[in-house]
Amino acid sequence: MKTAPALVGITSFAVILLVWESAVRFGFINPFFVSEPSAIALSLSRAARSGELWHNVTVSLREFAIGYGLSVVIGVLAGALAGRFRTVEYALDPFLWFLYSAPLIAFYPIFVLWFGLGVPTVIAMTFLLSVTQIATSTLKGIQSVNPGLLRAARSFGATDRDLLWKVVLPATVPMMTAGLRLGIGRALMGVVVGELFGATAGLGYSISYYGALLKTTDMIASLIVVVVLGVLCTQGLTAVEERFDSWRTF
Amino acid sequence: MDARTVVEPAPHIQVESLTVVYEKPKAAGTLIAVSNVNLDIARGTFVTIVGPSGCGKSSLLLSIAGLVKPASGCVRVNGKPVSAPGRDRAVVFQDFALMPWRTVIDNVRFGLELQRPRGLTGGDLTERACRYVELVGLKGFEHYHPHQLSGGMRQRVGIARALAVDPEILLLDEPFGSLDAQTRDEMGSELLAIWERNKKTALFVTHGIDEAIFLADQIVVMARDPGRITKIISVDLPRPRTVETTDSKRFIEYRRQIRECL
Repeated sequence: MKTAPALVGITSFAVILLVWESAVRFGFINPFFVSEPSAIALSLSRAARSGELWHNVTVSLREFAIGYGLSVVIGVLAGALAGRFRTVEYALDPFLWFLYSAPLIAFYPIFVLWFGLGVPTVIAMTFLLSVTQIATSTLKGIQSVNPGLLRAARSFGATDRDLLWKVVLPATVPMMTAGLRLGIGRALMGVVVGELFGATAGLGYSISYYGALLKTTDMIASLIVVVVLGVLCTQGLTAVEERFDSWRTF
Repeated sequence: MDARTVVEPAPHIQVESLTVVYEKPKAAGTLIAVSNVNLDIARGTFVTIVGPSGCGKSSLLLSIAGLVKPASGCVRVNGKPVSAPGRDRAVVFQDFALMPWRTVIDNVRFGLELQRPRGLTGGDLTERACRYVELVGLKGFEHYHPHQLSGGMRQRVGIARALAVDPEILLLDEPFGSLDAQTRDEMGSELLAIWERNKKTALFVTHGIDEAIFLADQIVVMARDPGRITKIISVDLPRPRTVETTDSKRFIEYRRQIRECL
């Protein structure tokens, strides 16, 4: 018998919700630590009706859009320049390496010092966390262009511009979009981490706010919204990726 | 009439004391791939270059294509020195070098897009690409991507791409080198059939002796260390050639001659 993956996934998810809910209802687990699905759903609908949810989502999404947007522009540009010019690559290399391996969250206090508590610091965190991924993926993408294809294009009289538009860019797209997709996750991490400590609105703020008040249900509700947003953003980019990438189905 | 004016027409391709040198990786000196080679190729002939790996046969071909810069000497096409790739030449590569993100038809269109022959619209280019896809027997596969095709079919795309720009000279760099023996023979016969239609000047690099004889009007035999021409053999076998050609006495004699030089 063939089983649809989606069906199995939904079933397992539903089973977990059911176990969770009943474990709390029958008193096996203290709801103070895990809350319960029905209460979380109620909390979500309350937040949605009061406008609190929408407000937090827009604040977080705006920070995400600005920080991630900066990352895309600067990361792609830096990666592309490094891919084109050896000198730029060598100049950027230590930074990329450093940003890649350092625990970037440690930068948070110094950003607070520079930008104060609030939106600019969150944006800086978002940018810092996602830019490396995007720059390195773009660079790797450009470096992995098959030189045989460049030679073939030149044999038909391609100019440098032709090479860029008709060979290098299309060949780089798959790796670059993979970097953009991974960057989304890291940017969201930047938003949430940034908001946890020094914000006045947003989903991360809401998580830490309700956490401080020991309101587990509302805290988990915000957590779920963050997860859903992450999934939606990544899915959106995956859809874009598949459009450009249909030839890569090996 | 003055006797001097009826001498043979100027060769289509002239290679004059050509030397090609590569830098060895990691600065371990240089490698002389082609050393002082002279070669004339007449218009409309099919010339094959045969020799062991490292004899500089591909370097010679790529110099004629304008993709490799000679250390000294020069290549002339129609009397004019070659310094870069040009519309009069098109190359078919051993590794096919197809754009994996382009479909068959768009790969064939690739060279046309780059060269944009005058007065042709985008639609004209597609139409022309379509004709060449058909010519190489890939009708029905227009919208396939290279990874969905067999090696032989991929090289058909490579050949169509080169023919589509309507070059005077077709340069083929071990085009069937990565194909299995049976496909290779098939492709050879089909290439000849296509070539017979308009007899462009063709230069075909291979390390297969039989393939070199089967296709050629003239065989250039090369040797290595340094890469040089050791013999040029004119092949006098009737065209069109078929499988039976390869069993003929003369064919076997050519094979023996080439073996001796290698």
